[in-house]
Formats: sequence, structure tokens, C-alpha cells
Amino acid sequence: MQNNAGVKRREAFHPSPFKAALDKARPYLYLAPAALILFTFHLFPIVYGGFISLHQWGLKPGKMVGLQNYKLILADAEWWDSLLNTFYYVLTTVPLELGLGMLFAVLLFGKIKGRNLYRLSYFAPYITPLAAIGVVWGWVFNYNTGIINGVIRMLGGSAPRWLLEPTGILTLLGRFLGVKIPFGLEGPSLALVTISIVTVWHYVGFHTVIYLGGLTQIPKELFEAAKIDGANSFRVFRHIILPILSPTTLFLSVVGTIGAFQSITLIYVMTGMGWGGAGASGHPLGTTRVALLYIFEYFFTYTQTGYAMAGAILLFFIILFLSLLQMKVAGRRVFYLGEGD
Amino acid sequence: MSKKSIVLIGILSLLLTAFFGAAAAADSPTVLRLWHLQAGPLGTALEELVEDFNSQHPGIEVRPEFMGDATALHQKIMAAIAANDPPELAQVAETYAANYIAEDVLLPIENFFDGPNGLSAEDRADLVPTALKIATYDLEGRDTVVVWPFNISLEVMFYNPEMLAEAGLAVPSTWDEFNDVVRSLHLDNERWGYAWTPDVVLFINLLRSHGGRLFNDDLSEAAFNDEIGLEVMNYLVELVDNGTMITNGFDWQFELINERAALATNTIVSKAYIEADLGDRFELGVAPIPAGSKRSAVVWGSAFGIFQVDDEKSRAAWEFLKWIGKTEQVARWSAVSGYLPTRYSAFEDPLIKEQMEVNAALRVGLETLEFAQPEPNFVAWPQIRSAISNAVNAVALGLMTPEQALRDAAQKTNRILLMAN
Repeated sequence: MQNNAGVKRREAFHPSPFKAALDKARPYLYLAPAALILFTFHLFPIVYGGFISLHQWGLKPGKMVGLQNYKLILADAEWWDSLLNTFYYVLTTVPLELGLGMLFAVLLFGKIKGRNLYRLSYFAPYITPLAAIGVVWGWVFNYNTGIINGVIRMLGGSAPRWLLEPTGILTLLGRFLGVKIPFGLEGPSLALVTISIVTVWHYVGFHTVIYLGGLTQIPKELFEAAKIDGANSFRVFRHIILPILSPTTLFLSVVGTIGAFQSITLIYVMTGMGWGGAGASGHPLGTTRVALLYIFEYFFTYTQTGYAMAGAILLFFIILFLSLLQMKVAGRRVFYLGEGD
Repeated sequence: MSKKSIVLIGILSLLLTAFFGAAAAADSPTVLRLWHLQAGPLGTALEELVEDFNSQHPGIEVRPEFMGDATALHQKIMAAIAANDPPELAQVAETYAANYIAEDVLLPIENFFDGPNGLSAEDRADLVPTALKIATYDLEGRDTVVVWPFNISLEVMFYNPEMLAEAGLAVPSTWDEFNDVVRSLHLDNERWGYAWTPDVVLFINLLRSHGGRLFNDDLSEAAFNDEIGLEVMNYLVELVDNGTMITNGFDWQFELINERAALATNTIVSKAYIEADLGDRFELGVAPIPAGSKRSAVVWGSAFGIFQVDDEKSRAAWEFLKWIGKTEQVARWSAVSGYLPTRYSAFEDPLIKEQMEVNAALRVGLETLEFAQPEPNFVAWPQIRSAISNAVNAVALGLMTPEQALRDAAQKTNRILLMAN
């Protein structure tokens, strides 16, 4: 159609209702496959777990008991002990993993001979299966036959009981220094600290690689400018590397904390897989029974699925709360490269 | 070729496939999955037994599948029950069998005893009562044989005869003598009288042999927190002070083999493992567990359970269990595994008789069978076991007084029993 001026008028676009609906639905359709997977394998199990936790559920569904399982678990001193052990485990692993990971990354970032070999050797523990690591390190720390105690005895020292020692690390240090440690401040057992050492050894390679990735993002000009301004290595680290790596640090601390809260394999294997003398996991005397191991024990050994699920839901909320707290508190201190340009 | 011919050939092929398929299905044997926990040479021995059964029973095919240790097997059974696809047959440790029974997923074996293919009076009398006791559970207030006994092992005492002879000491037969031997053989940081991984078993042995009980009659309260319990805990403290080396897991074997400890108490099956590493250092001594005011030793076992399956499969599963429980098979299994026979007649089998002459452990085992008692087998027991084990560990490591540890364990036990009831 032409108007009077002879200019072809563009007809108004009127899409069909079906096409309009399709256009509207398109983003959701794109999201659907991922959302379906997320719902089926992540959200649904959480909701279903919550449903189970409200029942007296053994191997098969039982009667509805409301919040009874939650009341029982919150009244169980062993649950609180297991949470304390979990916090100890997080505190003795995550900061060390971050610190050592950053240190190794900075060292490996420099031009040193055989750099790739070093990078590979730091990463190798991370790709080794945890069960195998647990068995081997269990031998290394064996009180009677372990290589570490062999060396200590050879040097005339008194061999620690490592994985057999339920006494708190601060109490042991206090004894060594002749200082009396008050009740409640004993710290994690030597057995748990021993497992933490192996955990750090396992994960430090992962942290190193992620930090190395972060380091490569730093523009070379910044280092050159700092050099011209006369900054020494420490000041370069303090004022350039540390702030620029802060988003990586936040990411690793959140991921590391969640991972530590969900740890079970290494602890289970190194404490004798439920055979460690006490007849249950968490040996010695429950001092290595972290929250997930407590849940595992109630689920698999005692077959109290409803009760175990109540523990799992509580742990889920604890992890969620701590992750949000970390993001909120540490997020304020994170510096993003390019921000404020 | 015309379209019509192609369609005809297609239909004919389908019909033939269906016909032969149905014929094959009619001839195919009843397949039974057998989930077990026998690793290494014991796994091979079990598979050989199964092979023999399959060749003698063309209508049944038992397929053994190794599932790891007792815990791993239990986890897989749990998952299979949740998925509504349990195996037809599985080896179950008594600790977990109580759970399956509580959830009504096992077919009680006793149902088959009186059937057309049941057990004769002779067969029943031939079964070792202790073995049957391990397989018996409280089913709605009635003691019922729920699973089929397969393995029996019991607590015995191992000793280094040379160490005892050098010190002019006799093999201890009472707990007092045991304590004396431990004290006499202890040399500071060089040699220990006894190597022990603290757990609930020694506590139960001592408690029962001094007339004590774990629970009251209606299983509603702990009964071990009394004078006898305290006496037992004090005895353990004395034993540790007198020269007991506290070990972890199976390390006690290492200490015995390397002549750093003279005595140990553990399951009779350990003998094979110790002797495998012992070489010609010394000849391992095996004796019954010492006695208190009476004799007592803990006995364990694993058994085969039939899960809720259709009649045809359950009949086939019973056929297999009956076969594997016959004297010949029991003797074969016992000779290879070191576990005690579950039938008296197996002790008369030439294979076992021959072993009895050279293997003192079997003679000790047979003697111990007469007074051995299993651990409790109700659902809450694993949790209580853990609570008592922790108390024993705390006392052995000097972290709690016997009174504190007993009180703590009794409180935990009562709470667990309250929850379970």
C-alpha cells in the first residue's frame, strides 16, 4: 500500500498469538533443561529430605512425627559435639589451605626452573582418590608401625598416638609447655588435627591452581609501576596481589568452607571405617565425628533415616547461613579489578 | 521383493521370535542374586560352592555378587530396598538383620522348616544350638529362626607359649590368672602382657562371666551400671596398669607376632591371619577365653537371608540354603574359611576331623561353643554398643573414672532404649 506521498507504509507487525506466547516463553524454555536438572537432583531431594525428616522413617516410610526428630537431635549432646568437631575441622583446614595455596601460587608464578613440574606435583594430591589417600596416610600416622613414629623413636623421642589420641591439641601443647589448659579450651583432638593435616595436603593444590589463575589476571603494568615506585616484594604482595586476589580468596573460602562441612571420606577412612576399636565411626571417643559422619552413622548404621535427615536439613541451613554470612562480611572487603575506573 | 512379502516375512519373524523366546523363557532357570561379603580366597571358595549347586540344580541359577564388607553390603541392601529391588538372597550380619526384620523385608526361614521340602527332625537336632541362636530373632513376641546360619566365629585367647614357658607360667584359665600373667610378663616399654584394642567385647565377656547383665528383663534399661559392671571396669583399669598395650584396630596381631605382647583375645578366625605372618617365630597358642565365676565367650555369625520375593524364587532360595547347610558343604566351607561348622555332623566329617587333629583352635572352638553367647541382636544394639565401647575406651585411656564412664554409658543406653521403644 502506498500513501499519498507515494511512500510505502510499513504495515504494523501483528504476530500471531501463538508466536507471541512462544516469544514470551522462549527464555523459560531455554532455562528449562537446566532448571529441570536443578529441580530433580538438587531442590527436590532437599524438599523430600525435609518431608522424610518429619517422619519416623527407617528403611521404609513410617508415621508422621512432626518436629520430633528435630527435638531429639537438638537434645543430643553428641550432635553438638559433632558440630563443634566440624567447626574445628573447618578452622584447622580452610585458613591453611588458603594461606598455603596463595603462598605456593605466588612462588610458582615467578620464573623458576621446572615450574610446570612443581605445579603438577602440587596438584597431584588433589586428583588422587581420597579413599586411597586415607589408607596410605593412615599407615604413615600409625602409632606402632607408621613411618613418622619410626623416625621419632629412632631419634629417641616419645611417639605421639596421632589417630588414636582423643586429647585436645591445646592440652597436649599445654602439657609440653607446662601450662594447664582450662576445661572447654582443649581444642580439637590430635586425631582430628592429624586428619586436618592430610586434608590440607590434599586440597592445597586446588587452591594453588585457582590462585595461579587469579594471578595471571593482574596486568604486568601494575608490577612495573610498583617497581618504578620502589615497592619491595612485600609491598607488591600487600598492596597489589592481595587486593586483586580478594575475589578469588572469597570464592575459595566459601567453597572450602562448604567442602569442609561436607567432608566425610577422609575422616571415615582414616578413623578405621567404623572399625576403629570403638565399634563406631568418629574414633577415638567420638572426637573425629563431624556432623556429616554423625548423620551418616544414623542413616547407614542405625537405619534411622528420618532422624538422620533432620540432621542433614539442620546442616544444610548451617552451611547456607555461614555461606551468606561470608559473602556479606567478606564481600564488602573484596576488590574487583577495574572497579572505580 | 514386493511390499507384501516384506510385511509377511516381518510378521513371521516376530512370531518365531516370540515362540522361541517364550520356549526359552519356560526353560530358563530361576535366577537368584546372592549378595555376599566374602572377599579373596573365601569369596572364591563360596563361588565354587555355588557353582557346584548350580550344576546339580539345572532349574536354579544362583549368581554370587561380592558387595564389600558388612557395612558396604548393608548400605547396598538399604538402597536396594528403597528402590524396591532387593536381592533374592544376601549374607547378613546379625547387627543389621534386626533392621531388616523390623522393616519386614525378610522371609523367616522357619516358614520353610515344616514345609514339604523342610528339615527333618534329624537335621534340626544336628544344627549347633549356638548357630541357631544367632539366627533367631524376636518376631512379634516369639523366638523365630529368621535367617540361615552360615558363619560362626567366637572369642578365644591367643598366646605365645614360649613366653609363658620361659616365665614358668601356665596358660591362664581364669581372669585372675590372666591378670597375674599380664603383670608377670610386662617389661617396661619392651614387652606387654596383653595387646588389646579396647572395645565392648571384653567388657561383655567379663560382665557375663561374673554374673552381670547388659539389660534388665524387658530391655527397657541398662543393667550394667551396677557393682559387677564397676568391678569389671576396675579390672580393666588394673589390666591396663599391669601391662596391657592399647592398640588400634588389628594392630594387636602385629604386637603378638613381633613378640611384644604375650596374650590377646579375639575372634578365632584371626588365627589364620596371624599365622600367615608368623612364619617360624613361634607356634601360636589358642585357648578358651578365661572364666570368672562362670564361663562366657561372645559368639558372632553371619547368615543368609531370603528377601521378600515371589513363591517360586523363595522356594528356589530355600533349596539353595538347605543344600549349602548340608554336612558336606558345611565341612567344606569350614575347612577353607576357619569358621566353625554350624552342624555337629560336620565335626565328624573326615575333612574337619583331619583338621581337628592338627588345629587346636577348632578343638577350642568346639569346647567354647557349649557356653558361648551372642551379642544382643535388637535394632538399637549397634548404638548401645558404640556407647559402651566409648566408655571402655575412655577408661582404658585413663580419660574417665570407671564410675563416670559407666554412668555415662548407662545414661546414653537408657536414652537409646527409650527412643527405640
